[in-house]
Amino acid sequence: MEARNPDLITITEACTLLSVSRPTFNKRRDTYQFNATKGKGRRLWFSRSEILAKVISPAGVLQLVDLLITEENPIHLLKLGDNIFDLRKIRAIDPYGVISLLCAILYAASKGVVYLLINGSLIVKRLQAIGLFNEIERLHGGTVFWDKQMLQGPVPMVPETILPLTYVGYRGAERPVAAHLNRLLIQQGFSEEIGGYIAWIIGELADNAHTHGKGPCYLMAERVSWKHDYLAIAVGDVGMGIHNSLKGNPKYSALADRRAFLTAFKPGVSSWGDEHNRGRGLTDVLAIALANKSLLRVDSCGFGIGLTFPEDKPALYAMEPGANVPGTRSCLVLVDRRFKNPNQHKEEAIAVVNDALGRL
Amino acid sequence: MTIIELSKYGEVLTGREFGKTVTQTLLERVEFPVALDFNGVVSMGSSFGEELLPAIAAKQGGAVRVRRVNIVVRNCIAGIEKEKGITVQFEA
Repeated sequence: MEARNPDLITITEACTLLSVSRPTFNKRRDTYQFNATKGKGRRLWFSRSEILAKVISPAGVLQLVDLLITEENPIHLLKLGDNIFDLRKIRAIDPYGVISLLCAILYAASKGVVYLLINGSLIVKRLQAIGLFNEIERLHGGTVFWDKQMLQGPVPMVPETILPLTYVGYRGAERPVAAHLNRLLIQQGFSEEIGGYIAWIIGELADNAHTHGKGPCYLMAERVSWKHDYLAIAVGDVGMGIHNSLKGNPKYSALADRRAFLTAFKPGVSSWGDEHNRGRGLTDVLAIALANKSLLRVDSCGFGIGLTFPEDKPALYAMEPGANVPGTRSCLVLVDRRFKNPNQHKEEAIAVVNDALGRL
Repeated sequence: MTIIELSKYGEVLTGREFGKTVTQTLLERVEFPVALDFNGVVSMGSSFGEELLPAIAAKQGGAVRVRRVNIVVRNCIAGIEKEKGITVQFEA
């Protein structure tokens, strides 16, 4: 049987990719002129890369960096069945990819035995240097297996990695980590300002993970190797997830999941009741990203969004999540010495979210 | 005027529960009026600040004096000032 071209997807898969219904997809198909290939019977096949190029990353989007996750593919394409991850397929990976991969493995390991297929490639060694295997061993040493012989020998330095994979096990543990990261950044020539904003972001995201996700989270920070002023940070957990947490508040319980996910980015929106006057963390993170004109990507329980700047105007677009597992993964690529006052971007943050909600 | 050096609580002040804890500690121990000194504080998150600043301001006629803030902390405080309707006086 001929192997299926991995770029071709069915209508159902395309709807899932864009998180839209079939009628909405048909409208998009007309708007964006997707090419369809006829397969056996009446089945139509669409090009995943064409859809991504035209809808999720439309032409003219200002991509600050190319975030690569395993050849721009989500983690599930590494999987052979439910419990085998083929890490040999990875050609490049960034902090968001590392955190997504870790969360996917941890989630699978919580269900049963997991096997990781590895080789002695530079990428696998890099994952070793970042601390991926150590962390998996620590948490699931009895249920996740890989060929440890492959990881013998010298471990390469990864000069871009400023903060390797770091476990934040309890509420408050992120504070000394953020302070340490700030010192590392200054040593590496970054400004005090970027470390300050990153600490603020980490504080909000880690607090969310512990308060709403009820569990630990992971952090990682890496300089973008070909843009020395650019810093990528990623935070992730396998907790409850944004929309599940929010819908615990009766005020939002009737919202569709995707709408709840986006609504959580508006100020004053929280899983706590209004009387607690909470719910600013995600708005702050978005406002900081807007003020810095940086790349932001967030996924939670199967929904993903990315902040981009088509024709210099910010917009949130649907993006395929790196890992379709419970919990939340966030990544920002911040540009040093380019921060503006995030307070001046809070109204813009609300407008961007409302625009994304309007397109649902 | 009592000067409270917030760096005693860490270089990074984030997290709502931590904000509540620090606020409670201060309310029990200090004599008002106070000024908050942020020397040595690299960052503050709005969740922390929202617990601290309004509670302090409430004891001082709705106003808080803050000193030696860096740009990140200043921006965080400015956001809280606007959201919570308190008055913040920034000193060098």
